Amino acid sequence: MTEQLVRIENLKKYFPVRTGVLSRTTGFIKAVDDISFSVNKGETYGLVGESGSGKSTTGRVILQLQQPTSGKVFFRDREISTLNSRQLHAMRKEMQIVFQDPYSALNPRMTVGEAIAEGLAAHRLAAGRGLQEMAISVMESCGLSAYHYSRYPHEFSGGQRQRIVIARALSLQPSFVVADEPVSALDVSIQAQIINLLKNLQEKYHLTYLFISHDLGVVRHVSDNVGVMYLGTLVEEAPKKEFYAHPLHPYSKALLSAVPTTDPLAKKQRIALKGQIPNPAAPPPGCRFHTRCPHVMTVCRDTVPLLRTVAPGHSVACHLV
Amino acid sequence: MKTQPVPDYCPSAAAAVAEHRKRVSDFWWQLRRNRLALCGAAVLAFFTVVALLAPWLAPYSPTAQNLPASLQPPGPAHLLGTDEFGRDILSRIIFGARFSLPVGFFSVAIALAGGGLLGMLAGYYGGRLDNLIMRVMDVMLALPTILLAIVIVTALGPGLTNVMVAVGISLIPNFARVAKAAVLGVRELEYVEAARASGAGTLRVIFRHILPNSLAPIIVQGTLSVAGAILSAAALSFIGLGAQPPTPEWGSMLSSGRAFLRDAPHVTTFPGLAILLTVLALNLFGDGLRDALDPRLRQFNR
Repeated sequence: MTEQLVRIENLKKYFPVRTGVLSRTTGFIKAVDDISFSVNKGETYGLVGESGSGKSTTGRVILQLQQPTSGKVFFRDREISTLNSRQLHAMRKEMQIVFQDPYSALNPRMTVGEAIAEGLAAHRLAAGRGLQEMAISVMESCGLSAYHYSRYPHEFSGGQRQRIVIARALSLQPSFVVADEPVSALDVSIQAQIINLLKNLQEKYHLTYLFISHDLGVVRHVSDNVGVMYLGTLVEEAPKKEFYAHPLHPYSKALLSAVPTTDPLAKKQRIALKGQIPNPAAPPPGCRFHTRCPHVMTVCRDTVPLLRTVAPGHSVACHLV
Repeated sequence: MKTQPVPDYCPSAAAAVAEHRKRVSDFWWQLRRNRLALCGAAVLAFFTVVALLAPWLAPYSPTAQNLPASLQPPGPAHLLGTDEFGRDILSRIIFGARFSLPVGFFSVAIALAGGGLLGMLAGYYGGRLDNLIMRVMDVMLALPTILLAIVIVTALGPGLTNVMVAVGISLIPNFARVAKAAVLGVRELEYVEAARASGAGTLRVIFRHILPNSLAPIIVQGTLSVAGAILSAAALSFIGLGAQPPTPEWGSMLSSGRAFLRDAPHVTTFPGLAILLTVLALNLFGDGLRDALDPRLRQFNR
């Protein structure tokens, strides 16, 4: 029944650190370091982690907006990291992105209609009146009106801008959308609207999402599967229910304990992590989380824990389990 | 100035498209409603017409000497007075527009095209190309602009055309730097990434996204540079590399009148005013152009 739409294998993305006048490479920022997962067709894969954990880079590498250092990206069982520019151009129709900040994601000098129609024009799918009608129909399905076509982005609020960004992503009728923190920049009341819009669109157009977020509450609402990233690696992966009921990795537990609840009487034990995420140019040896882990053991300091499957679909990289 | 009311709600796609067209034509409307920009444009148009009609407008020949009437202050016979050879200053300014305006405009056009292109390439592609271009620009910047222009015009030979080319080339590094900085700022924005994700090619990304959004500082640099270009050309004329002596050119009038600044200030004042007015008009017009191109600054009468 479940069919894979996107699969990544051993994906790595290192950014060279260049210093000095000769731009010599003195090191690498290991933004994404050897991760593998797959996204099922019609489902939402929630990728969570704190800032700097490599979530956004993963999304961009999947879309080939950035070249992976190594590893493979498969879309419909076809490897896309080796496509030439023409094949890639055709592939782009299938995969789109929704950005976090709707203010920098829209060109201030293009009208809403021009922005949404751009993909259609770039792929020569329509022209003239037909182009405009197609753009307007996408706008309407995203809760915008036809008269917004010739407005400029600065005339809109954050929530409406995010609708524009979503409409732009959907104009090419993609099957896969990377939603890179699509609601983090919005007010909570608007977040709900945008989340519901994304869910409705998913049903209507049978979309598959890679939903990147640091908000576990939102991820719980939208995802079918959840993957937790820490410092460029995947530390835990599980179906949603399983993940929220039995988180196994200490990092996942800490993240979940930070989710606010609506019950004021609920006594929750907050696990406060100390310090900051380490420098991804020089990740700690052994388990990358050992510098902040409340249950750190000797083995964690020098042995890298491997991702092991502990239950169907549930894998975790930790020496404790 | 009549404006159509912007409809609050257009029910059909056709109406939306019609409104879209109207808004695109708003660019001219926006430019027109900016009074200062309009004044600037008027002054520029005035100087252009003066330059074109110089032989009919000038009361005297710009080169006819009248030594007995030298260094006369402004009066009924010579509205703006005469210079050290008794030549009518008004006539010289009128004919000078034929030389000074093109020098200013063409040299800036050369600098804008060359520097803008180089800066954009450096900013967009980055890496080695950026390093190569910007280091060459640094070498050019290490020499004072005027010295660089002297070197170029010496190599090309004296003459007004060569002066334009020389001044234009010597201004290229400034434009390249401004353009590169502007492009760098825009290149990393998410809408550029979004355009690429939706399949837009390099040319489309550059011309639809990066260029329009990095234009503002380049326009300002352009309007500011015209003055510098006219003065650089004047300096070249002064040392005998540009407009040759009898030719009426604002900058060279300024330089040659310098010797009489104390006794006959009008000899330098009026060509100086002509340059000042041109530059002011250009700046006002440039600002208006920049604002009219930016939809965020548009005003609508709702």
